[in-house]
Amino acid sequence: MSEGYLDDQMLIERAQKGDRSSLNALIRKHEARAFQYAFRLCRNPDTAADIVAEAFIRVNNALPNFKGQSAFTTWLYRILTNCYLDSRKRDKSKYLTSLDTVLQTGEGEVERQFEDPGRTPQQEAERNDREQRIIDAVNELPDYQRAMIVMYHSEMLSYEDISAALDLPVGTVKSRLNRARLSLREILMRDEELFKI
Amino acid sequence: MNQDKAREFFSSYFEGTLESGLKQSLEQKLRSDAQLQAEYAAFARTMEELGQLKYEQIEIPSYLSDRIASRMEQAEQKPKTSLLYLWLPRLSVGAVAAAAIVGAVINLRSGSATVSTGGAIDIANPDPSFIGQGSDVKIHFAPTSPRRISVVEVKTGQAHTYELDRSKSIRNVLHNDNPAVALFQVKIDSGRSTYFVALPGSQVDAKSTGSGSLTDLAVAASGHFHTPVLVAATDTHKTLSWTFEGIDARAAVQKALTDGQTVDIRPQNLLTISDR
Repeated sequence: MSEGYLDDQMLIERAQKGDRSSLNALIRKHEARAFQYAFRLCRNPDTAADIVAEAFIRVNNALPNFKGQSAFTTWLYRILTNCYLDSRKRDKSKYLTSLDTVLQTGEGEVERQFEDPGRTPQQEAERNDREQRIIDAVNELPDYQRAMIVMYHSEMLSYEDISAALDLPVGTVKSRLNRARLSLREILMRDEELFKI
Repeated sequence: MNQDKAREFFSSYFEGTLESGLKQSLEQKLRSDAQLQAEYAAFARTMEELGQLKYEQIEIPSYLSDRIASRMEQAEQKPKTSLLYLWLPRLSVGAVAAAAIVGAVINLRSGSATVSTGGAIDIANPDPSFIGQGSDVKIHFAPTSPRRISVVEVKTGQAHTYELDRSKSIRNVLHNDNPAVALFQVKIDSGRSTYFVALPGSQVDAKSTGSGSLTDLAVAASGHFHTPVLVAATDTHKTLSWTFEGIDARAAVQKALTDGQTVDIRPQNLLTISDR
């Protein structure tokens, strides 16, 4: 019987008792979101998959001691961030900065897609250019600042969620995110052509 | 308000959460400082652009599930093989879970004694020994027969496993750069003996009351008294309540313990809770 409908707490409790299928269901439930976060950090699908795999290995190791004081997703974000930072230390040469990179999937190559409600082709091209610049600028940030920007603006975590995930006071999260945004502003102001109104 | 101070408030001003007095001061500064006004306008544009990131669609590769499954299988079946000399780098950066297993050394032994790279002599010991080293804890294990020791940082699941025998011993230092307490689990032979080590963080935990398991007590005591705590007990799940009074950590922890559990101070100031 599929356990996909069970909530995290129930899956975790069962997995903690040794139920492998519950552990697998927990992983299946969160692997896509984990991959999206990891990919936004490293911009390389293969590296992102490695980061996610390492993260779930650590989840499996630490699950017996997980007490549910934070949400499982918050804990997972923490572990994913650690795995990303560890991978950065191991190999700084793997990171891509271009939106033009295609993803390899089972069905062949897929270019990254952005939603575009009702724009003209020129508007769409300009929008993609601006978004590409933002993504490229985020990629230029120091690893830790990048993680916080991605958590807040891409993953839509709240300041409180990020505080819990990174084990930092909320005030510290806010001030560091502000600094990261100021850094981004500096990077983007190097080429303002696309941003002039 | 100077420019640097004003920039610190850009995010909260943009999000509409800046306290009214500071908001007035910032707006006054923006009106009088054209450069700062331009900077804030650029900042606001950046925030608008960042708001678009959430719309990015990312394709999930078809190989993801298989990759996770095969890596987990490898991790479970194949514990790390100990090397002649194994130096572990710090496992984290900055303030993100910076609890580390530092400078692990596998020593070659001959006969009943070893010579380690540090110059000390290791004597064969069937059980691991834990020694306080300020806020750190040193683990030393020199088994007389083949044994496996795993050290897991509980919050992150980061684990290191060593296969030891009469010819190999190990020294590790557990270290914590976090603001909060870090908890390590040390398992011998897949759980035949299990220890927990709580290391204080850079921040002291002012909370003096609480309830929970023995490891929760160890974490609370470590944070409150800013001292490492070792738990060497077979039953760590019983629910306890505690109130920390005064500065005597040993006395405060003893009050929370039940029959059969004791707390003492082991070498180099390591508070140790045991029932063995």
